[in-house]
Amino acid sequence: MSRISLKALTKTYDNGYQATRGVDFEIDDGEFIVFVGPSGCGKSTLLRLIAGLEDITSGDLYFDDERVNDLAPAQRRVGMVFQSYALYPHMTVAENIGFGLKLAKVPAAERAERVQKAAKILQLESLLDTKPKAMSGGQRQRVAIGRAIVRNPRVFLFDEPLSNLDAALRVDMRLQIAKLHRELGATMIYVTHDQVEAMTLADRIVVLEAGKVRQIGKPMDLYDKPANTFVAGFIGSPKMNFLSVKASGTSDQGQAVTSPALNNWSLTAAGSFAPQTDGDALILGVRPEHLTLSKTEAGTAFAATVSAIERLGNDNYAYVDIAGSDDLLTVRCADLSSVDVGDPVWISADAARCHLFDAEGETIALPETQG
Amino acid sequence: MAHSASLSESRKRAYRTFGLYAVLVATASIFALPLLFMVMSSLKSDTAIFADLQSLRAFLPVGDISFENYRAVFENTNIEQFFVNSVIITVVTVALGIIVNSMAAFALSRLDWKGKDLVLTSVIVLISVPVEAIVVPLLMLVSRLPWLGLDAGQIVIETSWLDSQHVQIIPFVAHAFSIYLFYQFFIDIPKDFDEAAYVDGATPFQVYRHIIMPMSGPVIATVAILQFLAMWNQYLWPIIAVQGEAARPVMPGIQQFFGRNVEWGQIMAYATLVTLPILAIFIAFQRHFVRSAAGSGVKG
Repeated sequence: MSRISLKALTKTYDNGYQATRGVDFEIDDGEFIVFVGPSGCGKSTLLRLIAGLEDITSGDLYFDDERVNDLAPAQRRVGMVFQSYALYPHMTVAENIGFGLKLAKVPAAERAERVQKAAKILQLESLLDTKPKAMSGGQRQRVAIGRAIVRNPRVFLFDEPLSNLDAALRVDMRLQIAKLHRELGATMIYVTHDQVEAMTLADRIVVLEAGKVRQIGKPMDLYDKPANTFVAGFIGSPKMNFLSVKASGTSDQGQAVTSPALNNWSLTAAGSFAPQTDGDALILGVRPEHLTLSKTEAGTAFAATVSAIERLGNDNYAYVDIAGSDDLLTVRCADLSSVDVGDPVWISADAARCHLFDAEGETIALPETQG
Repeated sequence: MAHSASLSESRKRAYRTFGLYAVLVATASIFALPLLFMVMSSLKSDTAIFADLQSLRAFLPVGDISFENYRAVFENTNIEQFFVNSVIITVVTVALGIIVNSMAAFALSRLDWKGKDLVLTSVIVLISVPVEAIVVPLLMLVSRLPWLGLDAGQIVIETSWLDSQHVQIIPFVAHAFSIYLFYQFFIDIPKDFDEAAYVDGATPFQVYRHIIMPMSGPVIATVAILQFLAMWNQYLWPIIAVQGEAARPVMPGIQQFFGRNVEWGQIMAYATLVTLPILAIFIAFQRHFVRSAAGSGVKG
């Protein structure tokens, strides 16, 4: 197991494209870190830089106190699980799992013992003589994990390992990976674009955008205290709603804001915020579950029209049209039985759960508020 | 009503099948009849061959049938030696060709190095250069190349490659079209396999040896078949580079035999003997033959 330090890690390709830009953070020994971000944000490149499958253009990478920039993947002692599983089709499960040990010239008896042990952990004992093509997606994924764990790596790397599985199997494998992390206590780095995987598996999440780290934190910290509109919009499904507002006074309760587009609807967001000049453009962020939809006018509500309704059984969502915005607001509702598309409704926001960002999209919440 | 409709439909289908088979049989006959004529004639005397020429008897084992022509071929020619030479030349060239050409394709398709694109382009350009175009410079080259040979148990330095088996092997091991076929196959293999192997501790050679080659059965078969055909049927180069009988393969042998013998039955017997290995290979690897011809975009 290893502590991993990334110091100003940059990857620039021959064509000048910068996949990662000065990435700087530390991963603790035994920690489960998840890299998330949209396609092309550099999360897989970052994983490949750590694996040694890509050359680092500048910056340093340390495993514990050892600089590993120039070490080959095997010398770094990483175990990697690929999105495609990358199981060797001409080898049996046992041969796939034991291939790395064979290359390392581990004696056959010890090799067989370690393969058996890995197979037992992953419940693959009955499949050791099977070829990958005769196996299901979930079984293949477990073999890929077996290939990684058999070599006792210092760090496990997962590159979107569940994206080829169906929804039910994905949940099952997610639980198995979480269990594996608990049992092995290993440092694990996991790349995904699925925020459910990120939120459920991670000790900490690294959110990346255009090769840069936008925020690192515990899953619920990212959800409750996003540092910018990118993280606020990326973490959470459906995504956070954003409204253009103007600062309109500070009080002990928090920052007051007004929306000229919504007939000067105003709200005082609770919390400690950096001082703003009245009239400054701000962005108000509210999650769907912190908005309330009503058919009757409430005191601090603004008018909207229902544009679409989604009833998912456990959750119901109303998508509403508001004045001055092309985007629909998403509202989570316990009961939408009396609401129809086209109905005029009133929307109010929970002032205690609102987020404020400046015009550049950075939070104006003071650090102590972020905890 | 429905019953009669389905009856006429099944009759139509039967006619269609019959028509299709008739066309296939006719087409197959065009190719098979010359071979049949060759084999049947090899069992007859010249008098019988010419007597049967005007009738279907030419394709049938009728009349005075014997293996006399085969006995004469073995008596009058050094065909055993030619056969051994052809087998050695073909097998060694195909085996070395698979190794050398696949390694070149591996380097071109899966490793990063400067000048790779230029080399790949050169290989593709070389495909279009016929052997006839390089025969003269190649001959000048090999006639001046030294070789370590054995003479009465002593190692001697020979001053030329001419009149040897290796002059028929080495220039044909590296084969641009084979490299291209391997390259095309390799670039379709996901790089995740290589990367998984590198993470497992493999070197590039181990990736080639343990991962890529075992997954490349179809293209190995294709290259082996195409190179086997090309080498077994080599004619121009051995005629130029080999004068004596010691290193002569079967195909130039038939020309020499034809030149001094007008016994058609014996010529047909010789032709049958040199065609048999190709037929045997074809029957054994029929599936791969069709696939290789389709996959390579060339005639099989």
